[in-house]
Amino acid sequence: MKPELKLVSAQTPPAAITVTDFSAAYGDVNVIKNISLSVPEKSVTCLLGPSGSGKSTLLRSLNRINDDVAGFTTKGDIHIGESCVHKGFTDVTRLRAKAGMVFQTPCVFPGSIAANVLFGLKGRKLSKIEKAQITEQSLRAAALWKDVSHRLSAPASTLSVGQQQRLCIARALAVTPDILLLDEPTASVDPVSAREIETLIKTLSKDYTIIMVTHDVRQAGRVADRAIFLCDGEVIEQGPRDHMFSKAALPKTRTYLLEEFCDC
Amino acid sequence: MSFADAAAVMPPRPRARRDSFTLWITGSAWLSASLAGLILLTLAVQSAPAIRQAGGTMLSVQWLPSAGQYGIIPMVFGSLVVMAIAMTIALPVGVMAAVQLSQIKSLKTRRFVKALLEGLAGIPSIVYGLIGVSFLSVFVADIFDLQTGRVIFTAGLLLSVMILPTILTLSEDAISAVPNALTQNAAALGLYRFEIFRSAVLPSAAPHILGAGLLALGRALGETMAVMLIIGSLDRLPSPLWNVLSSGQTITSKLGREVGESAFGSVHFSALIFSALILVIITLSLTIAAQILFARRAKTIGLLHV
Amino acid sequence: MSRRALSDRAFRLAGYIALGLCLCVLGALLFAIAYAGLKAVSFDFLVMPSKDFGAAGGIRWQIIGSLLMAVTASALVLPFATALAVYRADMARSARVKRFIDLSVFSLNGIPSIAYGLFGLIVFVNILGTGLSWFVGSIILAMMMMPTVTHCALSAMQSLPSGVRENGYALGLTRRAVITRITLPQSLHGIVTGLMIGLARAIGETAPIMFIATAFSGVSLPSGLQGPVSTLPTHILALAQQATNPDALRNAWGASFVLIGLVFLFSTAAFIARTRLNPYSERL
Repeated sequence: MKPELKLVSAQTPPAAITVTDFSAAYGDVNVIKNISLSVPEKSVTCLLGPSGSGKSTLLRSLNRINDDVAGFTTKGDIHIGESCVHKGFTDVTRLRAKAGMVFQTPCVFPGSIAANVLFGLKGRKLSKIEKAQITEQSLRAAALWKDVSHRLSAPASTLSVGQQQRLCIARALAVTPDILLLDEPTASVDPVSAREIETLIKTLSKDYTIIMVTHDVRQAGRVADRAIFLCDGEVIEQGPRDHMFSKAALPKTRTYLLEEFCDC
Repeated sequence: MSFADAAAVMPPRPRARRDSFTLWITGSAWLSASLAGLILLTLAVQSAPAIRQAGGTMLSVQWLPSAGQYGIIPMVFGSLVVMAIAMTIALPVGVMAAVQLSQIKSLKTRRFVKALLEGLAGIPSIVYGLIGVSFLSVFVADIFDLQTGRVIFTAGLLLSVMILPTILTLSEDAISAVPNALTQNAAALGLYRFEIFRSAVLPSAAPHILGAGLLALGRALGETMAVMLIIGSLDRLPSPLWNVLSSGQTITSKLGREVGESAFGSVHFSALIFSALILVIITLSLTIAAQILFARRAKTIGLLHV
Repeated sequence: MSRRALSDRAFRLAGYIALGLCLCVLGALLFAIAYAGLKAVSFDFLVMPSKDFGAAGGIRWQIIGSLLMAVTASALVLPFATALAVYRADMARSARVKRFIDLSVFSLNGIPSIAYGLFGLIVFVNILGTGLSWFVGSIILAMMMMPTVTHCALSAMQSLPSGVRENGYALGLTRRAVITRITLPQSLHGIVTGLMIGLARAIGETAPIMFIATAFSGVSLPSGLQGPVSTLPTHILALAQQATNPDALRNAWGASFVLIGLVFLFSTAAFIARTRLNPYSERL
């Protein structure tokens, strides 16, 4: 149930992601080595792999948030729908509004819960009613409305860490993205909240293309529609979840998915 | 695969748009960042006439503008002696007080005492000068039975108080930054506090304390008002040289006294600016050396934590 | 007692003596200033103009002159120091540029105050031909405040929780929006703290302004940007130089007392700004 936001056009453009011959490096250190993969729209795709495998870097290349990192260079193409993230967006902020991102540790801005939800929309002219609607719809979509509806003007820092993370998701939803990039969204929250967020992700995947980085294999098993196994900057194997978890072709993938161990 | 040639393959990363906001920030930033260089350049340009016309004679001991003699040695000597006296007093007192301060267990008390002592740095230097004129020089004259208390020693003594807070605060920071594990392990070996300090605390705090000392030296050299009021303003080397109970002159007190009397554009003015240039170069070297020491220390701490 | 124990005793004793000495010096200074200052300070002293070359009357124009110069200086330094801090924190990418800015700020901090005065004298008073001008004095004071304000603003910006800026960018904010809506408001406490510390220092400075911006007597308010003012520090300097006159000396102490009061005021403001304005202090 995608909230009927006033700002979103009725026709959502296709938001499948294709990565072709893509490489990335920090200075001389190549962290992604010439990979190609595709992510279907309106589903959850999990990027799996040990730390240092380049999965976060890939995620951060999708909305070009690494542009400001000194010495970061890329090569190759990433397409979202029809448009290339490098050539198609002269204004990188439009790309980032299209692809919302949620980080490992929730980071709320000083200010009220409502102000946090509306943080990405300050530039736009909105009436009070529109603001209230967007706040409610975003918080509902992030399954946080019940918890906070009575105290929207309370400081966001008074929320629990799990709630803060859902607030971050709501904040990303408020700018009406087509894609959600989640970088280990449950890494810093307690197990109960983590489960709630997983359910939320599952629900959101009906309307958004979701890419989630995780190193929790079992979480990927619960949430993913599709899994991509990255190791040492290369795609080892990719496919639908059932394929990956029951009949993965490569022994390397099987070892990692069963024992969370990787020798690459 | 190297990315040295990446630029050729990749579409150029779109540069930040040159909107007025970016331009304003960038422009102001570069203007601000160039001020230090601008000051140095101005002083260098203005001291050129003196270097050309008085040249090597500036390295003599005679300062007689009416006779065209601009020897800055007495001033440089005075500056160094005053600085040395101030440092000899302030360094041991400051560091020992910092050690004692770091022993205070209650964080609240420690912060309070520290803030109190930092208050010494808040007293404007002209007020220190007034204190020197009204009290300190009188005491010094009484104790040593001098005609006037406005002597090199008084200036050094007063300066030592003025640089004390710099040494004390920064040393205390350095000592407090030594990981507790180090001191606890040393204590567990049955060492006395003195031995703990010497073997565990000092080695890792020393660069920072040294940096504090260099910063304090810079401050001492550059201090003008207080020194000018109480050093006696005599453009001669004391005789004998180690007689710190005679009047003297520092670069700063010379500048404070004479810049107003010299005409802009004259050799006299230019010679004064030349001495200021030397002063600035020395203090800048001290400051930069101190910052390098601080930076190096920060790096080792970083490594320890990794 | 063993030699080890003995040297330890000596070490401890030296510590007590050193700290005691520092506290005694502080106490003596404060006592002297309060004792000598309170004898001179009265309501009339604060609001009357000075007479007889400072030996009689009050310090009205000196207080106003000092405040005028200091406040103007902080208004001048604010945009530049903030811009430099923002540039260093959010825009400069190359390590070399960052190092250059750091070096420049440290250098500016290390330059003796009298050198600033000479710079003002050469560039403004003589080359640009402004003559004695309180506004030029304010410009020079602003330059002196620059490293302090920049340093405080920058440390506030750098100590923002990691990722606040990244979260802003991830929401599709432009760099300008990230700076004006995240960096600046959340480091406001650092900027204000730096400004107050800078003010506390600038108002007590004598050497940088004595050649370029001040006159001793017969000065009230300047009519424009040019013309000198009279300030507390230069007033004290002039009075201290006639130390044989007990009336002049008494008024010098009175002016010192007022000056230190102003310094204290700004320092307290700095302390309050550091704690109260910090949006994250509630979480600490």
